[in-house]
Amino acid sequence: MPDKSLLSAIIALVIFGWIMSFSASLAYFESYSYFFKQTFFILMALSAGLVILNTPISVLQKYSIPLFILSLVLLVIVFFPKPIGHEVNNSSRWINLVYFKFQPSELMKLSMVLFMAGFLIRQEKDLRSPWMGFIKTIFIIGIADVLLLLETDIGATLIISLTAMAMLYAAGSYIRQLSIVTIGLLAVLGVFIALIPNRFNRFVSFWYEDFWSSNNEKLYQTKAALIGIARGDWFGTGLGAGIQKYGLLPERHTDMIFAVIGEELGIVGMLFVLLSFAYILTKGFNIAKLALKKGRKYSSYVVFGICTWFAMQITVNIGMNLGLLPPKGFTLPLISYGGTSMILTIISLAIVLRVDMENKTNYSKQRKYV
Amino acid sequence: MKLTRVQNYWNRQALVKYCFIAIIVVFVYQAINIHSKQVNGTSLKDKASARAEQTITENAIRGNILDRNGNILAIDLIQNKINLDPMIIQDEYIPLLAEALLIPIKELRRIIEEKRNNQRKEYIVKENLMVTDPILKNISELKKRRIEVCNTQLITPSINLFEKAKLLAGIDVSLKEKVERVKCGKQFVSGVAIQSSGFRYYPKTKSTAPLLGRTNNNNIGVFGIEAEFDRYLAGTNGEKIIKDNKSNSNIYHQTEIVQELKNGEDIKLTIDADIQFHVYNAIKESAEFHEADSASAIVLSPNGEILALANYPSANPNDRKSFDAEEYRNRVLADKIEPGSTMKPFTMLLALDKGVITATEDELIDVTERIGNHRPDEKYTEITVKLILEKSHNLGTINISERLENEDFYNAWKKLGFGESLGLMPSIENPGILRHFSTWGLTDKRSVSFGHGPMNTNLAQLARAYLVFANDGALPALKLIKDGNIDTKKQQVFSPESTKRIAEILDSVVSMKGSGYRAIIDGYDVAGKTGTAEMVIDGKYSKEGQKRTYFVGFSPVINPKYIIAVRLDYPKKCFVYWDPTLRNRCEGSNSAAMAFKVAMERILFNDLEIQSVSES
Repeated sequence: MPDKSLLSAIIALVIFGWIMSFSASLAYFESYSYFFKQTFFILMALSAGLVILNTPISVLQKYSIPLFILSLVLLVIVFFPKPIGHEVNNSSRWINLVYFKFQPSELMKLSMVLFMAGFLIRQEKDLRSPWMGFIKTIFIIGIADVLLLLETDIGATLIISLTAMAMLYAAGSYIRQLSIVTIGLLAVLGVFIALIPNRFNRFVSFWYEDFWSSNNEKLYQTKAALIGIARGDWFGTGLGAGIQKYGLLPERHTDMIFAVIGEELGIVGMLFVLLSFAYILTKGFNIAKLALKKGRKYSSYVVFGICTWFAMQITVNIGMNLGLLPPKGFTLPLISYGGTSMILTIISLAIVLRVDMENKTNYSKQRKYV
Repeated sequence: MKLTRVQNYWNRQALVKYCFIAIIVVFVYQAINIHSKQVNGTSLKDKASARAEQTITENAIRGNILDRNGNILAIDLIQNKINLDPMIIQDEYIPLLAEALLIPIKELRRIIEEKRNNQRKEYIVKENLMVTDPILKNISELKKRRIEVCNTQLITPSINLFEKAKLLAGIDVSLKEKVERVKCGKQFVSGVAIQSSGFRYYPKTKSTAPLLGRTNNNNIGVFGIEAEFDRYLAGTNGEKIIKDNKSNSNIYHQTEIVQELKNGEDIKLTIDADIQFHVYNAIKESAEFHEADSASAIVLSPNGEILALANYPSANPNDRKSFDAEEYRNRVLADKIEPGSTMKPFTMLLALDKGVITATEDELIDVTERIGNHRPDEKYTEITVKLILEKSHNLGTINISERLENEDFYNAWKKLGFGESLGLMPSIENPGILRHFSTWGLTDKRSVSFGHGPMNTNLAQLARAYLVFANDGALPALKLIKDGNIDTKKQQVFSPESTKRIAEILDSVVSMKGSGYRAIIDGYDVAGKTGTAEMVIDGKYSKEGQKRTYFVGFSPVINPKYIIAVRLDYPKKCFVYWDPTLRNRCEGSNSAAMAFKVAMERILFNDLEIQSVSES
């Protein structure tokens, strides 16, 4: 049996997100189709999660390389012309599967974690040429990054690279190389800032510009979110009673869903989401730690990778909803509308639960696990 | 060795975990703090609720002004205007639009070009269109049509993958020039709107302007009845707070009524629109004929109701483009005047009541002695009271006044309402003056007896005083608003017998023997009194012969139905009775009396209840 409290926290957030994305999408699109689609996605995601829950992690490790290659292929297919590829706002990130659009970059996030965990274990023995191993790692991340950048999916690129880097760091491999390269990159960045201050200024202007007096269209989204949240106060305007979602707030059912929660359910609703995520991820990190203690490195790395990925995704999404970060396209796991994201989030959390289950089984069985 | 090293790496995992927990703490703090954040002095929460709420004002419909029979004197009409947005009108539609607007194509094209050059987004091409106007029908039909329209658009061609990659790598790709592309398709006309606007309309135009006044562009009454009774006519605008609050997206508003919409009340005047029209025309014609500066008249019913209140010059209140305050002046109520000889009947009434005269045919009053500045003339030595009034004899009147006390005059005049506001339109009404008798000098009593000296009045007060002849010596209050409750309280001023006797004498004033000979209406009994007063200009009597002429009269003589007072200011052209080309000095008898005659004649001819004497 999976951990009951963790499972209930996940299910609670899924149901919460289901209701909120319904509220946000119905208001704007005047159609129930988003609600039905999301219901279908959640059911699909839960079934997939159930399958993963009954799959040993060793199986995942075995198939991690083919899965990674498949993800790369899918990232290329995206660029195929219509009707296979699907383009929104001048960026092609989707594969058209008639009923819904599959987003390979989401799959790539999980594949990268699964692949990187295996890769780190395989490279552990190869300490004779640490630079060679490090370059290999960078190369693997690089391939995925180039494809994602071509899709102009900077969000996914950052998440995937940083997750991989964090895993590299936590696994203790190539620490020296990682440090040297990081310092080098920082130096290059410093030179870049010194040489072209304009571009840097434009990037950091979000934090020092008073965006209430600026007419910058990019800040419009942040202003709309903050006004919505401010309107919500402690208990919110009530479910369905928000107004920002009617047209003032873009991406109300995906990226900006947290602002809708803030408006309709107030601080209480936002705290519920924040604390639930804190609980789920703390629990996840602890599972990774336990697995490592028990010597099951692959499981530990995978769970750590997943938790890091979620932590970053949640940080960036909520940070931009709360006006602390400039708006970028990041969805809120478990809550935002979106099929691919929902399915892969649930699958990932199922992996976490599975590792926890494997942690708790008796020693004789554990020997089979990785 | 290596294994233990790796096992200790969970601390590194923990670092990421604690970073995340720290971030969550920051987020919790921020989430709680957002609504109290200050933005330009107001908290974000207030700003948010201000955005979510909208106050909507619903304009109250202004009440109508009606005459005593329910005829409309002022009404809010819905009219339409056609508003063009020259920036977005498709060129292909201009000929059709010109045709619909009934203006030449060239002209419309020229105007649209001009407005486009000035970046104007609004141009009202037609205004004040009645709902039935054919232009409106044309436009609404035009808006349903679709014609082929071509326009050029600037399009940036999409960039290919390689360029995209270069862009991401930070290499500046020379952005492609925007390309013009002509797009054609059937389109509806854009930038043409029919908008409605309220318009205060005065169907009786000039005849009522100084009385009713008019509204300004904000629909607030600025003169006359419109201003005086604005708070009743205007009503209360409705105010609603609209909270964008419903889950139904068609109307996601929740309205909270702050102020109930209350449309303005109708006001029914005692005015009779027909009488008003006749009287206005009579004084207008008279003022034009005699070249008077201005003219005014008031018509009363015996119970004190004002049937007409006309002033000349007068403006067309429907014309909003021009304005002259003189043309909205309600001279009847606002001007302070010396009534002159029209006061002589009241001197006689007072004397009769006090028993100092009998006013019979055998009573003769000696007019051979000089009293003050007033010298005897050669024409008369001894005259009757009747003759005094017929000839408007000053010395005779003064002679009688010498038999009365200052106090008698003061009390009677006070009872007649002089020097006291009528309460009709307090904001413009001039109540006149009646100085207390204790301040009167030697000549004041003499001059008060023929309408000068320590008293001033307005025309309405003067006309009201004449109501004693229709009410057996009693005086009702004047009324301008017909509200159902008739105030029957009257103040008895003179005895019925005295008033009856003086009324008989006034009847003979309007005869070939009297000064009112030019007010005779064939077939009807008319009584009245002329009056002439030198105008006071800058506090002094005019030396250039500027005069006001009056006539106050009533008909029929027994049980009068209409009491009319007419006043002309500085008539310059008057003619003798027997020769319409021979100029004469202007006096009440040859100017105001004629205007009175025309007005009264028209009123009587249209009143089927009053039978002319010849018929009966």
